[in-house]
Order: sequence, then structure tokens, then C-alpha cells
Amino acid sequence: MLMILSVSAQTGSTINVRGTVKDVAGEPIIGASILLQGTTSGVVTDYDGNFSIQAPGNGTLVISYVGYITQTIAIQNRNSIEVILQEDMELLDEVVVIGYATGSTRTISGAVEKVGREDMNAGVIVNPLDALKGKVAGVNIQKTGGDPTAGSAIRIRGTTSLSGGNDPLVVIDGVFGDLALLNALSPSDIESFTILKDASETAQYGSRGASGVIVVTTQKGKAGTKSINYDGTFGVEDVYKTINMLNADGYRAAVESMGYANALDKGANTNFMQEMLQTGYTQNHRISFGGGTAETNFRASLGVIDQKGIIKNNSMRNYTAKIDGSQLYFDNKLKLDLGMFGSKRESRYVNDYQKTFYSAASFNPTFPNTQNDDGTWPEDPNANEVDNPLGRLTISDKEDNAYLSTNGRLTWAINDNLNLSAFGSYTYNAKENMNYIPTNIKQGVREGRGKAYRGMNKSNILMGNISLNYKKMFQNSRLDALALIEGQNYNYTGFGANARGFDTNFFGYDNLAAGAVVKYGDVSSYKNGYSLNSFLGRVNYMYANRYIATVNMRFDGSSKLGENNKWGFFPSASLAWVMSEESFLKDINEINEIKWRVGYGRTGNQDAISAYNSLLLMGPSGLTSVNGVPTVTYGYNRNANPDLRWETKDMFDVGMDASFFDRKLTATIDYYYSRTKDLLYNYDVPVPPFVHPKLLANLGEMENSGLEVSLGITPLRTEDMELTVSGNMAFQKNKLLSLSGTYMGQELNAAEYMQLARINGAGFQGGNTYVTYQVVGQPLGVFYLPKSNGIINDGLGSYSYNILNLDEDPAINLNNGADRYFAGQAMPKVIMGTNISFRYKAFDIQTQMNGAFGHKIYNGTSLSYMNMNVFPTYNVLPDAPEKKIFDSTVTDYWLEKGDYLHIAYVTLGYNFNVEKMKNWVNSIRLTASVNNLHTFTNYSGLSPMINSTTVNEELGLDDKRFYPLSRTYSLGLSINF
Amino acid sequence: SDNENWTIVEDIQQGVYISGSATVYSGEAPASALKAVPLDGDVTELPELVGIYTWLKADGDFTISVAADLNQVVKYGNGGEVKKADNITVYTLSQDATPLKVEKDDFYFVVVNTALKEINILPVNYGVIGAATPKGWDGETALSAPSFDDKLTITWKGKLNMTPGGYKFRYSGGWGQEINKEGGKAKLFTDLGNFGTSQAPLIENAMSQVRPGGSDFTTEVGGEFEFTIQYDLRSRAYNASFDIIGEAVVPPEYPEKMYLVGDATSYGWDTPGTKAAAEMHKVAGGNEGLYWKILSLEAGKGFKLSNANWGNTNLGFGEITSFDSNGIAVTESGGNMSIAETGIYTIVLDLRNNEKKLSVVPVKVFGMGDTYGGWDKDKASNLFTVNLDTRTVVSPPTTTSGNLRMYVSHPWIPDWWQAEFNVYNTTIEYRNDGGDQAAVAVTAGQVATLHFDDNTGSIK
Amino acid sequence: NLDENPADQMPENEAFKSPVLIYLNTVASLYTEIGGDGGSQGLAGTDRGIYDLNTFTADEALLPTRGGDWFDGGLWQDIFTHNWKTDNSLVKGSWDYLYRVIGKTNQSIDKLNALVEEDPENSFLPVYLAEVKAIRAMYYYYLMDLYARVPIVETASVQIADVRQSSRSEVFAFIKKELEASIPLLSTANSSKQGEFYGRMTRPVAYYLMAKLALNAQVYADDDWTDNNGIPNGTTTFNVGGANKTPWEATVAYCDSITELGYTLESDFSKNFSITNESSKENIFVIPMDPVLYKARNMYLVRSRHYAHAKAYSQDGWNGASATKEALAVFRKDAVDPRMEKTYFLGKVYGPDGNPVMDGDKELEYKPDAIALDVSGSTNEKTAGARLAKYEFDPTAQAGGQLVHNDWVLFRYADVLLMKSEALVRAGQNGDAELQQVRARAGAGARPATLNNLLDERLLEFAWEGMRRQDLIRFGKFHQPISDRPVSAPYRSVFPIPVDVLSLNTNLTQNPGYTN
Ligand SMILES: [Ca+2]
Ligand SMILES: [Ca+2]
Repeated sequence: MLMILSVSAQTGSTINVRGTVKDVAGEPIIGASILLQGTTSGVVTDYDGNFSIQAPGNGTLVISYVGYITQTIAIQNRNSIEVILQEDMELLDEVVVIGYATGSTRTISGAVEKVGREDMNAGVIVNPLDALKGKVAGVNIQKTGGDPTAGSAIRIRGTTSLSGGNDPLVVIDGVFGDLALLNALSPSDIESFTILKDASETAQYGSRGASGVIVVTTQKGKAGTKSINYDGTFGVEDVYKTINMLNADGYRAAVESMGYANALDKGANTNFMQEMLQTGYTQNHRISFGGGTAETNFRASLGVIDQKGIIKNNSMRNYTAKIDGSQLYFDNKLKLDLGMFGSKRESRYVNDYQKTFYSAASFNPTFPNTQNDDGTWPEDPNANEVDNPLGRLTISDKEDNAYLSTNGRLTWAINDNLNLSAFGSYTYNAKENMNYIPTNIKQGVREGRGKAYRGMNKSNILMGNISLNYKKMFQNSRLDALALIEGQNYNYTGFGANARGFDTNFFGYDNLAAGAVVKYGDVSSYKNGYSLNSFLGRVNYMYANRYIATVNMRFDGSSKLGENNKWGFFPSASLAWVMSEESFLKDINEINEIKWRVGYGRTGNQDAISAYNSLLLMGPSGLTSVNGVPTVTYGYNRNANPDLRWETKDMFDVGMDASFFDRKLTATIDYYYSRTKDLLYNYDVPVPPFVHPKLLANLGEMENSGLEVSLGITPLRTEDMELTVSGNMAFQKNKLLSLSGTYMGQELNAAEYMQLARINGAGFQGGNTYVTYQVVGQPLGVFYLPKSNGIINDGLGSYSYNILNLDEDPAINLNNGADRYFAGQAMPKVIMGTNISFRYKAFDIQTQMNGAFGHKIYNGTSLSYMNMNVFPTYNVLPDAPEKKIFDSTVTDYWLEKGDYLHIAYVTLGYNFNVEKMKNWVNSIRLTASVNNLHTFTNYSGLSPMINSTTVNEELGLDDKRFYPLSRTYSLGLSINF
Repeated sequence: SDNENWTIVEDIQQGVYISGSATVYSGEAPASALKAVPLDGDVTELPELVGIYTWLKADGDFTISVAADLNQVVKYGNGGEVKKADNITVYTLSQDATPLKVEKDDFYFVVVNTALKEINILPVNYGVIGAATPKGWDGETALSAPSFDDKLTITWKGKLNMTPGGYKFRYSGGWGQEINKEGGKAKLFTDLGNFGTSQAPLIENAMSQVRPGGSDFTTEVGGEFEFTIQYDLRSRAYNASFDIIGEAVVPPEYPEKMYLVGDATSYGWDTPGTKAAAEMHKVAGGNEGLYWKILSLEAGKGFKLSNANWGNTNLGFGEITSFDSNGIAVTESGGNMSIAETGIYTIVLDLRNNEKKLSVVPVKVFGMGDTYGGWDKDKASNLFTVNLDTRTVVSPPTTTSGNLRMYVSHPWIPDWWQAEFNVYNTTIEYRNDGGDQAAVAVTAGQVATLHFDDNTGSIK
Repeated sequence: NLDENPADQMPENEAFKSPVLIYLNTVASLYTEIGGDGGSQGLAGTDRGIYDLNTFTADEALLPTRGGDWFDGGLWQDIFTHNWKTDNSLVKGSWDYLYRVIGKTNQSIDKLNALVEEDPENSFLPVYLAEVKAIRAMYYYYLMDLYARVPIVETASVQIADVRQSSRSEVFAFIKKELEASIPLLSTANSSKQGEFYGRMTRPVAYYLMAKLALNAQVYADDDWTDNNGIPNGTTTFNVGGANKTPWEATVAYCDSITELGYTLESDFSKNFSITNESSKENIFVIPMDPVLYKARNMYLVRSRHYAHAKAYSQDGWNGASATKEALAVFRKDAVDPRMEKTYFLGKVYGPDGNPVMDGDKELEYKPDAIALDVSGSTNEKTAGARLAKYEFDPTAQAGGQLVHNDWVLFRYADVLLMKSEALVRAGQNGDAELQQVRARAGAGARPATLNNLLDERLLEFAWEGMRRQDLIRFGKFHQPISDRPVSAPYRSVFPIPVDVLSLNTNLTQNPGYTN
């Protein structure tokens, strides 16, 4: 196909030039750009490499294509021109944004992976991480349950910090952000992800780089094109697995057979879990248009993603808009880029997951599914721990999250080798939260006759940098050097207000004045912020096309750190050897590439530190009576740590990239080892001498190591048919080495057993109910439990967990340090993803399977719901009355293997033949997908895809909080004009 | 999956167990373990005596298992009968012998003496005993034969007519049971038969745990009671409750204090309660509602009986439902009562049975006991004389040294000790409804002079 | 520029700019700590703290397991049966709370000392110092009572290695010394009344603490409690008004000092716990409560009453804490004590409209005598037990009934009378008059002041007030068996040093008897 952007107004005889662009092998090059020099008019080649352009006979054509050396050909009044483009050795491989630098895969010496548009996931993609999931070895993306408002968790090369700073840095077109900012992008607007896993490159980001970096490049207008695209999917979402409890008849039968005198029977038969469900949907529409010439291009897009969850009143809607433009000036010496994107995301949450789902499962099934005459919801007077789940669903809990991010770049080509670039960005976020707990539900009574909340959190983030880039080709080598200074400023403000004491639910959170009671502390506001100053130097050097060295040096200064520790130095170095370029391999045709890499780098983590953590400050500490008048007093509200410093991570990586047989077989293997020092964490400290029991401090060490393997095989590649199988697998190992260190010159030890997750609910509010721990010498998130070899009959048909003695004291003692053992780890040892795609003529099919292995899950849901002690106040699983377990002791009995293999989606696509409408339509593609097809697992709970990645109070624990599993059936349409 | 196989542990811990088809147990397990038996006497427990309360079926048999160590089980069967009586059967235990049997389905206390290798099988049934029950403390009223249900509870029930008073639950065999021990007998702790208030009172219509010991349960009301006792095999606890069928018979309430007032008395018409000496006395031995008083009354003047502050038991002539026909005549005087002859009288008021009966008779006070030559009631020689001038009642001289006892005699007061009084220093103190008064020692020949109007007296 | 310029938090130099700010931020700020709004917080413990440790370990109340409710991993059973472990969360939470406030008092004292150094002639700073030191002494009093061998930390700038335990008798001497030194500078005002000294450490409060120290001196000055024997009276002495006195004499003297300040019994026992109890003439030290103004919570009505009972008042109920059989027996001894109905909900209860509270289809009826440590599965699973009735229902309460107007009573004058009576009796004198005052106010008949009667009276008067553990220990009855609790070891009269505290500071050692 051929497209003429503009017709030249050049004088002289205009002739029609036709031609073909081919590579050295004689294959046509599709999409090569043909530009008439000195003008803005140009065309691109069609499927057969053909083009046709109106040009003056004495003009000159510039023919270019990514990865090939640009040719300039004088027309010399020819009507037909054959062009053979030479591969550009330098640009042979894909262009990759490596942090601040750009390069090609050829010149990279660190572990960097790129996922372009064509590699992204198919199926229903509602946020950017969905597009990336399962694609890159060592990048673990996990989402639990089917809640459309819930985000995914991501870990790159595992968890390397004890603190909250384990999310990777997200850099969108040069703008620093986080996962939330990433969600402000429509997945369809993303051109590519580049994942920097290894410190030899993440060190460019110094104190921000320890948890990996995701560099996102968005789609821009292309020179010489104009286009309009529409993408849309519509899907129906339905529950395919949820928890089934004893039904009302079973409940009655159990009450009868066990002779419970207390049981309430309200005469109804209600499956409360089912009552909460609905059929959800997902729709996703996006329109984009753009165009460009050699000097100007732009692109704009608008999109909406709309999801209704399978739980009533649970929904998410995300509106996105994006616009980019660039212009060259002064003989292309100066380039101006401007980008802007924004989004507004409206979420309606299921308020308090655990409470809601626990209530739905445990509520007495003989209660009706309707309200009482007085409008309240019937509550079981005996069931303290649960509320009527249908009443809970009337809690309105919403969030409106708006992002606006703009960025601009000025690039000045001082000369052929030297570029000066100035970049600036501004990101604004306003997140408004609203919730209202009605007066007619139990929670509303608990809160004091209804409670409304409205609050706003805003952030203003400014960043800017100036960089000087020197690139030069020498006879046998190539040098790429970068110097950069950068400043960042983060500013956060917000307020919140609560009101209680409502006599009508009419106003909800829309008129807080309708609430009679506003207590001290019900209104609040804050303002804080921090800034970072940085210097970066980078040198990338390649010699003889096969020896590559990269050195990064970054200095970061942060206002958040202690007075004497504000600056940190983060160096890295890496070497690569392209073995395939050596003479003894160069001529072997089967080998396309073999490259060895080795690197070392240091990065930091500062996300765990909040502003002012190092200062002893006083804040409002409450109201007290002073001279009979309630007066606000101020106090030191935490232990300040003037000694706060960076947490640093040193990482070593060795790897190999290889491709064979015309790139039909590709492989990447990496081994890494990292050690994190001065671990930032809110440590338990002794009271006294400390005033508060927690101190954010730098103590201890942790190590991580892993092996990552990616393989791609294309066993079949013909014109009509192509099969590609790719897989990645990451083995990861983690160990907490130490949790002691010095603080202000004195030895400080963390507690021996730091507790993470514990079971909640009726009968679990204390005692020995912890499940996962952090313990020195063990992996992060380890199960430390009493050992049970099974259930034991008391002789009368009641069972309890038989607990074994493990220590010298023959008595059973469930305390830490007594009859407990390390029973496994919560985080997977192996994570894998497999992608298969097959094309037959116009049809294609793609599928992804991902899995995790070697970890365990504590099935707290079954422990709770099999315990007959709570019956009949709380409902139990259908098996429970028969199994007669009267015990809720937390032992390893319910610790199960968490291994699973999940078929994430299957997508069938069809590309219409648009030959007949080629004048106005470029392509039409129709897809049909099923998401969440099946999970292979031996785990007996609802799903093994619980939180096995994030270190928090839910890690490794499946505890009555699981959102029902849904499956989405969707149709998609994509049209390019 | 991992846990759907339900790994079942069958370890047997060290201990002594009962098992077999006659039992309700699935084998040697915590619920079937025999535990130390509490004993009466100096030794509260013996290591070789272990027991269990349990339900045994006739159509089945059972053995005693002794596990010396984890899973090291030796089974014992019937090694021969030692003793057979209504309330206990004793066999020797013999390793691997024929299993034991019982003759009828029942609730048993099975006690094993591991040293003597003896098993004692005691059927256990309960009854209610006590003053509040039809048979009093002489014997229990049996509850029904126990029933056993699949909720692993044994239930005894029974209806009986109760009157206000104390009671206990008792094992039909008595207050306890003796069994053999090495070189003698051990008495099983009376938990076989003695459930009292050691934990708390019994609650109407709600099962609550009961434990052996403690003082009597009491009921303030009478009526038809249905008692339920339950033993829970799982928790090994007794629970009991009662239910009152139909209307509870509420005993009448009598005024706490009655006073005699009026111009006929030495107390005048002051508000009843202001003069302590005007108070009437109660009658001991469970005769609530009966009051008496000795005082001087002047002829022709009025008197009344009332509780404190002219409360609603304010009795003038018209309020009295009947006067003692054997007593002296009482006449009306402006709503008050009046008598014809001045003198010292015994006045007895009977408010029982919804009546208000009054008796006024000339005082008759007697001495009693060792100091008056024996315990014959109303012995003429022991009658005190009345001195109207001094308004005193004077005793005959005591015959021997000893403890002085005195009482008023009146036909409405059944027994002498129920209307006793004595002189302490110079004050007359009355037994009222209390227990024995402190002894007052006198020597032979002493004389008691009593002035009842102000409750003073002397012994000289 | 990497300097931080906080806007919503205040640097120190702003916080002490004027005398008002100095008072606010060195003294007043401590009072916000006395009440609590979270587990283990506040001197009332707020549901998992000091109050529970002093109540459920004694013989007056328990939190029974009711089927699925209140088992909580055995937490409450362990506490009731004297089987608490060294990792008990209440023991740890209370330690952290008490020392946090001590840390804050030390910060205040350091600051005040620095200010005194700048301005040695200042007249108000020494008064502030005295008040803060007396507050600190009160916190050490609680620590000594609960944990016995605790570190004395007197300034905020201490290294971990310098935090060393003192013996109980040393802590006792320290508290005594600190209070004695502060008393002359403290105001004589009534702290329970609204006004300048509302909720503050004033002289009567300090006198009360001194009386407690003296009355319990045999326990507190005893460094070996595992022998279950206190030290003889007279081993320690108190200097009262220049004269050396035995603890019994000192108790009487301090009690008399409080009487002289004008305290008297309220004619109505319940007035002390009413919504408007700020006007009580009897309360000596309270936690000021107001559902809108203050954060302090009263969890105990909520935790005790049945859900339906609470719901009738549109409040929250957790259906938990109940009176023990032993407590009920004391109330029923001889005749039913008139305070029983004012202390407990027994039997049927009525809503604000006067109608019986309905529990589903039937009338709710508490079963006081059906109480046991585990009532699971019984017909009375949810209704067993007499519930807390002492504090008046506040219809304007917030947070389901946790935020109320009734000030939480920590110390009151009835205790002064009973302390004096007890000291007299222990000294071989007659304490009938003081006991009789307390009984007469309650409408109970006279009883002679014997030790047994006094211990009973302390329960009758102070049930649900968090005093019982200390009383039982002083009377040597803490370890005696009661329903559902066998005899316990004498070392249990002191709580363990929390295991986490030991692991974080290896200089500290565990209290005798505790292994796990
Ligand atoms: Ca052990
Ligand atoms: Ca108040």
C-alpha cells in the first residue's frame, strides 16, 4: 500500500518515481520510508517493498528503515529505482531505551529486556502490567482475585528489601513514576517496556533503582504516516469459582444432629455468597490518531476502560487521554518533544475485603436475603465477628484518581557527536476518596449512626535534567558517553474529613454537614515533600564490535536522609563479549549471536523513608483539658532516627544472550547474586530507652540470587503458518542474613521472630495465631508453625490437630522458640511463563500459561471454616459437620503446596483481507478471548494465586478474604485507517 | 489435594482406657481414658485408682487397655467375679481374657485398680433429697432411669413436689461407696452422691454445671418441680437445672417485725418501731408467721398490733380474723382491742394461712432442763409466778447448778424451745427464729426475775 | 537544597516559645496519654492492657469462651488460669505503653531541666517539673506493681546498654522518693472536677499513690515474691511530715491528708460513674472522657454486654466479660448487697423504652450463675454471666458506646476509707468506722472491720474497677484456686518481662519462675 502525505510544491518537472526496496537477501522491506530530501513529502513501502512518489527529476530520495543504513539516491529522472538497503551493524538490533541512554541490544552489556507491542499479551488487557505479565524472566506480576479495582503486584528479581520499597521504578517517556502512574496509561498507548533488572543498568537510577526499573515508551506519531486506529474489546465476566459453605438445609441438619440449643433458624435458605454476585463486564475502547513528517509528528489518543465486577457494586472506570508531538528546527539541529497524558480512574471498592467475604461465608444461611421492615439488615445477635454481608455491600466506598503528566524535551545537536538535552516534567495527581457507611447496617451502628468520609490526597512532582551526550564512531570502536544533572521535587498535600451521627442515608458523603458529630481527629490535613539532587556519568564503549564496557556513576542526595548521610554514591560497571563476532564463529551461519555479559552495580532504596523521618518533630498528640478548656497538645509521635541512611544493594550478574538458526532459537540466561545492606525497616526496638516500640532504621543484610532462563523457539515459519513458543523461567532464592547493626553507635538487634501474617476472625484475636515470619537465616516470609501429623479422634468422634513435640520440654508449647519449626517459604522458588502463538493464514491463536512453584500457602480459610467450635454461630464448610474437627489451632496441617500452572488466556484472532478496501482501511482484526481459563494446582483452597510476593501481613496466608474467581469471555475489534 | 485425605492419627498415649462394642468410644483415646479418682479421707487420690463415668450397653462387651508407653497397649478382660451386689460389681482383670459385659444398658462408674488388677462397676442413678423434697432428708426421690442420646449426654429427669427448703442431688447408693485398695478400703469421693452449691445455685430452665460438695441447694418456693441432670461424656461434666411446672407456690411473706402498741401497754401510741421493747418475738423451728409477746395490759384501754410505721399489717380489732376461743375475751374499743382485766399476758399472733388469729392468755413461763430437774414440758413445779405489782414474772429457785433455760408456754407454739429466752446481764434476749442461745450458768437456788415490758431481768 | 522544612509537623524550637507552649508541650501533652484509644493504651488499658491484667487474673471477672467468640487462640483462658506466657500481647502492650509515657515524661523533664538552666530564677518551671515527675512516679508505680523488676530510666538520652533492671524494692524507694519530693509543689485541687486541674496530677492524687505504696509496702519492698511471703511491717518506713512512720501509720496519715482536702463519699454510689460524674465529690483521679473531645475510650461496657442489649441502645456489644461465681458469692453473702444491681446486669434487662430487651424472639436474660471459663455449646453460651452495669449508659456515646461522657474512675475516696480501715486493722486498731461509712452509703448493714470483711468489701465496692489483683496479692489470696482455675504458683503475682523486651535488650533478665 502506498500513502502520500503531501505533494511537493517544488519547481521543476515532476515525474512519478516507482521503486522497490529490498534487503541484501532480496527480501522486500515493508514500511521503509522514502522522503524527498529537503521537503516534508514522503511515502512508505507496501507489503511488497514497492513505492511510488511524485518527485522532481533532479531531486534526491532519502530511503531509510530502522536497522538499515539510510541511503540517499539522486533520482536523475529515473522512473524506476531499485534500492538495496544494507543492514546497519550498529543498529542491527532493536533500539532500546536503557534508562537515560538509548542504544541497541548490540551495545548493551547489562541485563535488559524489551517487550514491544507485538510481544505484549493478548486477551483482556485493562492495565499496563497485564500486557507484560508472564513475558519476562524474573519479573513476577501477580494479581489476586477478580476485583477490577485491585492492582497487580510486581517484583523484579524478587524481594530485596524488608520495607515498602520493593516496587520497581517506572519511567514513562523519561518521567519518573510508580505503578499508579503506570495505570494512568492506556495499555494500548504503550509502544514498549524495557525492563532493567540488573544493577549494572539500574544504577543509573541510583537511590531509586534497587527494585528494578521499568522504562515505558509510548507510541508516537511516525514520520511519513497518518493513521486513525480504533481498538475495542467487550467481555462478559462471570464467576467460575467461589467458596461454597454449608447450605441452609445442611446447616439445619447439622444443628439437629449435634443438638445445638442456641442455633437460630430464621426459616430462609440463603446462599449469601451467591447473593452478592452478579455478571460483570469489561469494555475497553480506544481511538488514536496521528501523523508525521520528517520534521513534525504528533499523536493523540482517547480511551475508556469500563469494568463491572462480579461482586455487586464493585466497578472501575478509567478514562485516558494522551497527546504527543515533536518538531525539528534549525536544520534538524534542535528538536522539541512534548508529551502529555492524563487519566481519571473511578473505582468503587468492596469495603473491607476480609470482613465482607468472611461475613458472606460465615453468615447463618437460614437468614433471609432481605431487609427487616424497619430498613435494617437482619443480624445474627450471636455472631460478633461478621455482619450481614448484603448490608455490607451497601457501604459506598469510592475513589476518583486523576493524573496529569506533562513532559518536554529540548535536544540540541551541537555537532554530529554531541547532543545537549534538557528535559522537564510535571506530574499532578489528585486522589479523592469517599465512603459512607449507612446507618442501617451493623457497621454503621459501630461507627456511631453512620459515618461519612471524604478526603483528598494530592501530589505535585517536578523533575528536570540536563544531559550532555557524546557519541562517536572510531575506526574500530564506538564511544557513547553521558553526563547528567537532575533535580526532583515531590510535594504532597491532602486533607480528610469524617462526620458521624446521621439520621438519614440520603446524603451519603455528599453533605458532611448532615452528620451530627465531628470529633477531634475527624478532620485533618497534611503537607510534606522531599527533593533529590543527582549527578550521573555514563560511558558505554564498544571495541571491535565485540568487546563492550559500560560504566555508570550516580550521586544522589536526598532531603529525607539524616543530616550526615544525605549523599550516596551508586556505581556500576559491566562488560560484554560478543563471542559470535569472533572470527572462529563469525562464519558459522547457524549462529546468529552469542554474547556473554558480566556486571556489578550498587543501587539504593529510599521509598521506605518518608519525609522528615530523620527529624525529631512534634505534631498534635491529642486533646487534653487545660484550664478546663480542651486544648491540643504536641508531642514527639515517633522515634526519630537522625542516623537514617540509604539501604544499598550490591548486585552481580553474569549472563549470556544467544540466537541460532536464523533467530528461530533464542536464549537468554542470567545468574545474579545480590546483597542488600543497611536494610531499612520499622524495627522493634527496646522500650525503654526508646519511647516508641518501632524505629525506622538501617540494620541487617539480605541476599538474593537467581537464575533466569528465557527461550524462544520458532519451529515453523512459512508464509502461511508460523508457530512460536517462548518460555521464561526464574529460579530465585532469598535469605535474611542478619538483622542487627549499629544505631547511633550502639548495637541494635531486631526481634528474633518478626511476625508477618496472622489469621483473623472469630476465635483468632490473639494467642498463637501467626503464620509467616521473618527470621534471620531463613528466606523472607517463612512459615514457622507447630507440626501436626494429622487429626486425632478424641474417642467420641471429635477431632483435633495432633501436635508433635519438637523441643526438649515434653509439654506442647506453641510459643516462638518452642514447639515450632520452619515449614517452608511463602515466596515461590520458581516462576515461569510460557507463551505460544500460532498463525495460519489470516487466523492466529495465542495463549499464555504462567506458574509458580516451590512455595507454600497457609490455608487459613479451611482452618477457620472447618472448625466446628464456631458452629452454629458461624457457618462452616459442607464437610465440616461430618469431619467434626473441633479445633482452630494454627499448625502446619493446613500448610499446603502452592504450586500452580495457570492458563491466563487464549485468544483467537482473525485478520480480514482488506485488499478491496485498501483505499480507506489499513487493517481489520477481530479477536475472541477467554481469560482465566483454568488453574492446575493441588492447592485445596479457592485459588493458589494469593499474595505470595509482597511482604506484608497477608503474605502466604489465604484467610477468608478471597474475591471470587471470574472468567472473562470477550470479543475485540481493531481497525487501522 | 494435600488435605482432602484427612490424615488421621491413631496414636495411643500412655494411660488406662476402656474400649469395646459396649462402650461409646471409638478406641483408646482421650475421651476413653480413665482418670484419677478423687477419694475421701486423708489420701485424696491414689495413683493406681483410675475411673471413668460412662455409658455401657448390654449388647456388647468391653475391655480395659493399659498403655505403658506410646502405642504399647495390653488389653484386660474378665478374670473372674469378686463381688456382685446391687450397687457394685467387682471383677479381677486378666490379660487378654474374655471381654467384660454389663447386664443392662446404664450409666456406670467404672473404677480400675491397676495394682490389684480389679475393676469396679457401679451403676449410677440420681435422686433428690432434702427438706424441700417429699421424703425430707430420710431418702431421695429417684429420678427416672437415665437415657442416652447420640449427643453423648446421659439424662436423668424427674418430677416431684417441692416445698421451700434445702435439697441436694444424691446417688441412689448413698453418700459414697467403698472399694478395695491394697490392704484395705478406699472410699470414693462423695461426688457419687453429693451435688450441692459448690459452684453456684441451680438455675431455672437453664443447664448449668454442678460439682460435688457445697451446701444445699435451696428453693424459696414450692410446687411441682421437674429436675434434669445431664452428664456430658465429652466434657465429663454434670449439668443440672430445674423447671417449675405450673404455678410456683410462693410462701407468704410476713412482716419482718410486729409491734404491740397502745395506751393499754407501757409503750403508748408511739409509732410502731420507735420503741424496741414493743417488738414481738418470732418462733424458732420454721414457724414463720407466728409472733408472741409477754406484756402487761391495762384493762379497758386500747392496744393494736402493727408492723413498723403503721405499715399495712396494722391490726385493730376488726382486722383480726379470729380470736383464740380458749383465751380471754378481747373486745373492741374504738377500732382498737381491749381486755377486761389488767394483768400480764402472753399474746400470740398467727398470720399463717392468710389468717390473722390472735390469742391473749395469762402468762405461763416455765423453767426447763438440768436446773429444774429434767426436761419435762410444762412441769407445774417449774411454773413462774406473776407479780402484778412489780409487773414481773419470777421463777422458782433452781434446784441444781447448771445452765438455766426458760420458755413461754402457749398452745399455739408447738415446742418449748421454739419460744425460749434467757437473761444476759440485765437484758432478756429471745431466741426468736434463731439457733441455740448462749448458755447461762446458774448455781442452785437462784431466782430469775423477769420484767417483760422493758425486757429486763435478773438472776440472783 | 536538601534541607527539610516541615509544614505539618513542628520543630522543637517552635514548641517551647512561650510559657503557655512550655506548659502545653511538657506537661499537658502527657495527659493525653492517660486515656487510651487503642489496645493496651491508657491507664484503663483500653481493652487489652493494664485493666485486664488486673481484673481477669483476679477472682472477680473473666472473659469466657463462647463458642466461636472469645477463644482468641487461648489468650483469655491463659490469663484467667494464670498460664500467661512471656509473649502475652497484653503483657507486652502494657509494658510498651507505660514506658512510652515514661519516655515522654523524660523528654519533658530533659526539656524543663534545660529551660531551668537557661532561666534559674524562673518560678513556674519547678512546679511543672514536680507535676511531670509525679506523673512519672505514677507510671513507675504501675510498672512496679505489674512487673516488679523494672529498669529506672530518668532521662530520654540513655543508651540501650545503660538500661538496667532495679530490684522491686529499689523501684519502690524511687517512686516514694519522687512523690515525696513533688508533693509540696503540687496543687491541692480536686483533679476530677472540670476546671484548671481537671484530670491532672494534684496533691490528693499523689497522696493516694503514697497511701497505696504504704499499704502495699510489704509486697513492694519484697524482692522475693516466689516464697509467697511479704516482708514484715516496719522494715520500710515512711517519712510523713518529718516523722518516721510504719507503713500502716503512713497509710492512715496519707488517707487523713486526703480527707482534710475535703473529699467525701457521694450519697449515691452510682453517681461516681454517671454521665456527669465530673461533679463527684468522691472521685480523686479520673480519665476525662468526652465522646467528641477526647480520644480516651471505655471499651468495657461494649465488651461486656450482649449484642441485643447494646442494640436496644443503638450501641455495640461484644458479649464478653462477666462476673465470676466467686464475685457473685461475695455479693450474696448474708443478704444481697445493695450494690449488686448497681454493679451488674443480672437476669432480664430493659431498653431505654422500658421494654424487655429481645434476643431474637425471646427476652434476653443473663444467667449470672451459668458462668464458666468455657460456656461453648451450652444453652447459656451467649447469656451466661453477669455483665458490667457500673457505668451509666450514655445515650450520646460515640463509636458504638466506646466514646462516652462518663469519666473513667481510677482513684476514689471510698478506697481512701477502706485503705485507712485496713491499715488500722492491720496495725491492730479498730477500723469499723471507716468501713461502716462505706457500707452505710451503699445501704448495707454494718460489719466489723476484719481483714476478711475488708477484702469482701473491696470487691463489693470496687468490682470492675481494676483493683482486684493488687488486693488479692496483698491479702495473700492471689494464688488460691477458684472455679476453673487451680492453685497457681507464687511467681505469678508478678508478670514476666515481655520476651521481646528481653531479646532486644540482653542486659535484662526474666522475672523468677518464668521460662516461656
Ligand atoms: Ca515441647
Ligand atoms: Ca466527662
